[in-house]
Amino acid sequence: MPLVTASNLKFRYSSSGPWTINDVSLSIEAGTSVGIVGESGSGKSTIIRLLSGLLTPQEGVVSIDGKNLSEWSKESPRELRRFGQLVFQSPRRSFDPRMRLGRALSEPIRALEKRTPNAEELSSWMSRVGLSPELLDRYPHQLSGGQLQRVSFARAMSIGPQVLYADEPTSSLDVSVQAQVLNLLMELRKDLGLTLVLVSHDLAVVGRMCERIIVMSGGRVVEEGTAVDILVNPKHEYTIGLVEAAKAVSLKHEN
Amino acid sequence: MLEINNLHISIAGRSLVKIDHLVVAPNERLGIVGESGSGKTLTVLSILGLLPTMMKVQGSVIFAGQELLGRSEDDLAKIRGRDIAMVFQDPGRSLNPTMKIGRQAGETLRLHSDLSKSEIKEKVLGLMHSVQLKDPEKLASRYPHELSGGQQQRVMIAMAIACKPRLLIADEPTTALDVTVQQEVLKLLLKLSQESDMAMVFVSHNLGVVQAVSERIAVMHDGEIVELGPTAQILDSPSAAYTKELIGANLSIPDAQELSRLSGSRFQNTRGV
Repeated sequence: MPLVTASNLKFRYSSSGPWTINDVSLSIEAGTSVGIVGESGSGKSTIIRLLSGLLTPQEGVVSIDGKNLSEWSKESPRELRRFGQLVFQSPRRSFDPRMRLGRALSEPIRALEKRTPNAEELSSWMSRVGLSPELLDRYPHQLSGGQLQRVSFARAMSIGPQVLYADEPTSSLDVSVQAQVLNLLMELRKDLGLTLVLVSHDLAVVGRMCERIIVMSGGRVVEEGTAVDILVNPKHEYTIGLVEAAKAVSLKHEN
Repeated sequence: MLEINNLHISIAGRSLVKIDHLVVAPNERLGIVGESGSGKTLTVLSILGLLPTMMKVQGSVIFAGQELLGRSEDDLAKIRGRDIAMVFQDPGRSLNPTMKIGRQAGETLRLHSDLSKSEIKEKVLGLMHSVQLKDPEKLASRYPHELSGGQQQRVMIAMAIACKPRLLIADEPTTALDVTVQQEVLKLLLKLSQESDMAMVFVSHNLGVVQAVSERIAVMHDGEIVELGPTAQILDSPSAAYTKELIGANLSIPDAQELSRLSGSRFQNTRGV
């Protein structure tokens, strides 16, 4: 049985507006890494907010391990948060600027486990993501974007989620930092046995990180398949155009 | 056509950019690449005197035989848009939100030409057509927020080329755009540069994008040019360690062979749920 399933989801941000998500069905197997790609306005960020329970669909059902997400959300919202965590595009906007990182990192454990993690526990998370525990005393503005995104991952992982939803986690980072953060994400996935749902506009990133790819356009899933299906043998006209355009501006060199 | 010598940009005694020598030939397309903070944007802003006044700029920037550094604001205003034009990263923030597209696109012509109102209108529609904007008459009466990001950037390009500048400076002009739109805008810039003998300085953090439009590339790091040369030479046989690092970090779309290698190394979950 798939870990996360969406059946005929429909969602719009205002009651009279167009459907941002229009009849989307998909399933995500436990332990896999699934990439969701598409251009601005395709609905890729909205879909992970629906899958993680941050948004509620107007129509359709999201099931987690066979359980209806909206019922689960009402019965035990904490368990739902523990099950799936999110990391967003801009690490600067994901932290309270007035809160030291030690406190920010301890927030999920305080909220979901009703306890205060000790310094050792927080330090080990910082080390796990390749940062010095000394940074725990700093404020977000005192760290670089790459360092702060690592803290985002530590914060998301600290409560042991089964699924990590990452929405363009490296888009605001420089290329050399992007490579380091992707390597970290790959390691965390391997060590912690995570299911990864990665939203990105960057086919090069998704091709490297994900074994399955879902292509979205205009609020619908237009094609899905393995990374080879999508990047080497795309079938849908939209996917073909997307892959061709991405290849045209992709770096080509002989070493 | 453009010659930069001993350019030094600093703030409160801290050095930000130090360029000994950089030349852009007529009709040449030069790419400047580097990561955040490398000084690429400061360098191009200094050419047109657009840096904040708190920054100290020393050295020499010669354009078509004239020294630009130290010129008065009035003198620079005559050059901006007429001889040297600029396109910025975020078209949404570069356009005046309260001014309709048609009027806005005609601003450079109003400033730098003696054309009548009706001639400007006609020229603007022609420019909008040349940047491949569909239905220019309809778009001209809209406000910037009613256009997509790609349409807004085309308007910016139309404004930039209105007076047939000899040099176009494009600072990350496609970074805020989707990949399919990005490809179209790059093709357009290349075509315009080739057809109207316009030199171009193209700034980007994305090596693939710079490769698509540039004949030569300058690689910047920590405020200095660490390598400069023909595009193929820089990308295929880089000599500076930083250039090699930058090329290595730029991910390309994996091909079938690489995907098969990756699928073997990707983690398969055994934890179960």
